[in-house]
Amino acid sequence: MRVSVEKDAESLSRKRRPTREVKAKQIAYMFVLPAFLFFLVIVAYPLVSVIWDSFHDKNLLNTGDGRFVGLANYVEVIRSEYFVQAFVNTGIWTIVSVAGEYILGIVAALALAQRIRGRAIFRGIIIIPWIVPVVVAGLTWTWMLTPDYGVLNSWLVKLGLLDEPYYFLGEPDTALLSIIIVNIWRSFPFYTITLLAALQSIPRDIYEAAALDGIGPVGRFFKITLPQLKSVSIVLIMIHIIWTAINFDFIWVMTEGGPVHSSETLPIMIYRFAMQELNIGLASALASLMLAFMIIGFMMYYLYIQRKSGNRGGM
Amino acid sequence: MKKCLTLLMCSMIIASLLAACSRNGEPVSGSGDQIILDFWTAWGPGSKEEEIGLKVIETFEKENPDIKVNVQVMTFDMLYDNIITSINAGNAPDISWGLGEWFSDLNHADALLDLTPYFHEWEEKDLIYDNVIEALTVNGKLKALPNYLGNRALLYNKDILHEAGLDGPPETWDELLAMGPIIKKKTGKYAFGISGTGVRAPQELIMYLAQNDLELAVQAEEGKFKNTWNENPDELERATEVFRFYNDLLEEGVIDPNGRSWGHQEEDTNFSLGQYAMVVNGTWMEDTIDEAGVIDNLGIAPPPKNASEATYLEISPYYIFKDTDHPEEAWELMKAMLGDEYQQGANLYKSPRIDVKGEGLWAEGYDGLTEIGAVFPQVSLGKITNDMTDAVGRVLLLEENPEKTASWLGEEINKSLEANGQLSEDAVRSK
Amino acid sequence: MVESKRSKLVQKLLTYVVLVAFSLFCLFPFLWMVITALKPTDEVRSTRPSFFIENPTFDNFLHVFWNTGFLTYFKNSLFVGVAATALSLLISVLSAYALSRFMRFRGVKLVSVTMILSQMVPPVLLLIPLYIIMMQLGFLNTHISLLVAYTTFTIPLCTFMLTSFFSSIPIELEEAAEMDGCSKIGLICRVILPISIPGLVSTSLFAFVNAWNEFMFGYVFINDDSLRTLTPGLSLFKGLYTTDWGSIMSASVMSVLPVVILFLYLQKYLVEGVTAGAVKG
Repeated sequence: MRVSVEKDAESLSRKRRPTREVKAKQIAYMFVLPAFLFFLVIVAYPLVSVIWDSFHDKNLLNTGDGRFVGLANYVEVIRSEYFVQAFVNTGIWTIVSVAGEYILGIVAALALAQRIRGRAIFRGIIIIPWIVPVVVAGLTWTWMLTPDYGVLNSWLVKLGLLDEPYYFLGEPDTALLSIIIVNIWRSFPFYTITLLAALQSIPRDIYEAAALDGIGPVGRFFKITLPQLKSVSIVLIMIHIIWTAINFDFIWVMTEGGPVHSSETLPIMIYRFAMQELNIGLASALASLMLAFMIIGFMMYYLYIQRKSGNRGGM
Repeated sequence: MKKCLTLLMCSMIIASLLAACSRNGEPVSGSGDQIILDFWTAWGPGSKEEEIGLKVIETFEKENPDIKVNVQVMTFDMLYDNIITSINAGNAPDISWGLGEWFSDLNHADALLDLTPYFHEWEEKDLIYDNVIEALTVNGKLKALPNYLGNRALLYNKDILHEAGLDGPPETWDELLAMGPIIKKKTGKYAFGISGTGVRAPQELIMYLAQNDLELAVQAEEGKFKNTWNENPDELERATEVFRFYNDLLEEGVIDPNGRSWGHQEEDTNFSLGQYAMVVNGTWMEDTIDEAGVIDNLGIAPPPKNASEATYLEISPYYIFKDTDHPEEAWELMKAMLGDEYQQGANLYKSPRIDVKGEGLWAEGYDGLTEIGAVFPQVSLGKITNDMTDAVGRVLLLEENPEKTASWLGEEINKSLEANGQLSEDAVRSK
Repeated sequence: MVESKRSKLVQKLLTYVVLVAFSLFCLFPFLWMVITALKPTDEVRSTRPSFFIENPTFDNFLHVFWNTGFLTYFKNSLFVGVAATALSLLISVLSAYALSRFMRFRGVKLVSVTMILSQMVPPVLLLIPLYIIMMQLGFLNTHISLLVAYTTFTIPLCTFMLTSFFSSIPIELEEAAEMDGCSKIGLICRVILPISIPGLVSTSLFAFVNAWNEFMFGYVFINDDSLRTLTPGLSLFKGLYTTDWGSIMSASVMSVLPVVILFLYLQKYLVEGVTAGAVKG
């Protein structure tokens, strides 16, 4: 009985395959439609207008103007005094942040993966910074870092590490670095959670086998753990490179890109062009440039992966 | 547990959808006969301005039952961003507080209502300082009303000066520079405070420039300006001297090295807590100093001069936007805010009205400063004020050569003018 | 295990040291937040900040709670956060299902690529055009503007998280249900969602935190104080002329605490949920 039903179903499905496929297609498109609509209205349309504006002389306050100026905006952006610095800053901000986050994230994840008492409590505590709104984190750290009333300065002076209070956020040499540390503080828990999850799914017997082979804890970390975490890590790092590079509010809340542009990254520069100098043309050109950099970066990465794995793996 | 969560999830989805729907269906507020005036302010929570302002508005609403004033409080930074975006989108408020530095930009964008006809019919128009009205007038049209006057005077902590064995405040830059090491040595405190970042930095710079007979930009022809420092070696030398003064303040230990990156909050707070001896600041410090309760012995004097006596005259305007549907009603509200109750209550020492002066230390200390007040030129300042802050930072933080900075700032100002089509013809030609 | 007892002990000790160090690092700013919030004004502004509060006071909290817009901001943030979470979850479930099952269609692939691309667009750069769109749609100064913006910017990651979750569900389960005459929607509700609870929880936590933390859109889209959300509201506390750190810190404490509690309660799901998502990548 059962056998025949299955056979029927099979032949049925084979016969109806084209229509089934059409139906599946309909369903698939219906399902992605809402997301696509949101994307169209909120991202694609504004994006097109940004690219359009980047070729026009558009000022936020005299909207009547707006003639086509070709690449003039791009030239002006690249020639502008702080562009190179902002570009380098964006690189430093992104790379140091992501590297720091990853290192802290993996160390915390390894520690949390051990079977010890109170693990849940520690895990709870370590997640906390990630839930803190950027504004709150920025304000709190700014408060802790102030030279006159800040607790950190007071301690460093007491410990003899500093002769007198140092204005971490107010000195060109340390402003960006200070914000990076705060950013790492806030973002590393996401890595920890993700890596912890991945760690826990590594079968224990691999470790036991390795231990039997006489491989020490350090060897096991490099020979087993890291390779097992590779795919998760790549995704994590990729996502965070994007998020960090385009992050605006952290730097804005803490230094607004100052002092003297020393902590200015490209998104801050975009905001400055748009909202302070009111030059939408320049802001759009810079934004388009930044988008282009990122897309090129990811294309290169994608091609590299493609070549490396033959045609085996997709994203 | 799982069921519970699923339930929670579903109810969340449904609730939010319902909420979204009901919000969609809501009638647009403000329909009906009620006139709504959107009024944006930046008064501090719990300040006199807020207290008296709300009282005046309440009375106003009682007297005009068909008008409702919708007050929104924001900080100045937020105000600027919101004004810019809303003008661009065509839904500016009716009235807003603002800084004088935004005046030319907003006027250039043709966002401001021409107030001339209303002003001429106002019976109390003669009570407003003439030079203030002049500063808010472009091509014979009055484009904003004064909210308060932020003159700057030298506030000094008599106790600290006394402890250092000094009998009075400095009258010149050199005296100030000479006092720095003495005060530092005798009291362990810094003599002077400056603000190297934020909105205050350009305001202080323009004052020091004015004290050295310099203007950011001179009007060459109607509506066209240029900076002349780089054309004129004498002016460049004087501008250099201003930046060298900043540099000396730091080198001689007159200012706290951290002051290089102070915003106005730090400058004000630290002075009111008696952390340093002197600052050039406005009358709002009365509240701040009172609240801190640290300084018993405050003195007020004119700012130290160099080539000439000058201070910064901040005219903080009320902007009435052109898109308003109710200009008459907005004007009525403005009259109420410029009326006796608000001016006496909240603006006693900083009123734009001649007849509101107050008495005592603060009134006397700021008396007569309006006449020597320098104002920003009527050009788009968005980028220029940023460049001014950068210039201060270049000297103090990056230790750039003052002459280089002065020349750089002059050049940048002309570049900004050119970008906004406000550069004078001869400067364009000579390029 | 072959390792000696001693090396195990060392390892354990090391773990504790690391964890305690991390906990201090993570908790310290909070501790300082709470301490500042409990100090009276003159102690807040002391040049010798200390851990000991001479005259602890709840004044800052009471002031923030009763005399400011804090409660309103909080309610608004809660509403926007929950609504945005629900909406993006709804949309992401559908698109994630499509992505996990129908990647073979070109249109679906296109959507997935656009989602990746949309992640690279800095929201700052869309600010002005978005503002204008919101105004044209009449959404300005309503929570809908925030709802729409937050949903859009969380959909991609929610979708990817859920996609990997759904992909790990064996297709046979669905086929069985389909045989019973279940529609696709019914199938998702009855088969897929119930076994994806950890994924759903972690995804919604993610979406919620995103909306709860967002600053820029809330700052620019909302001018009406009665509609303002928490993060721009907090930045208002920086005040006009002086900065009242006591109030800022007590407002911070009150805005962080509820979410922390929620998280501590749900964190188990977070790890489970991310597991499936992460491992597949």
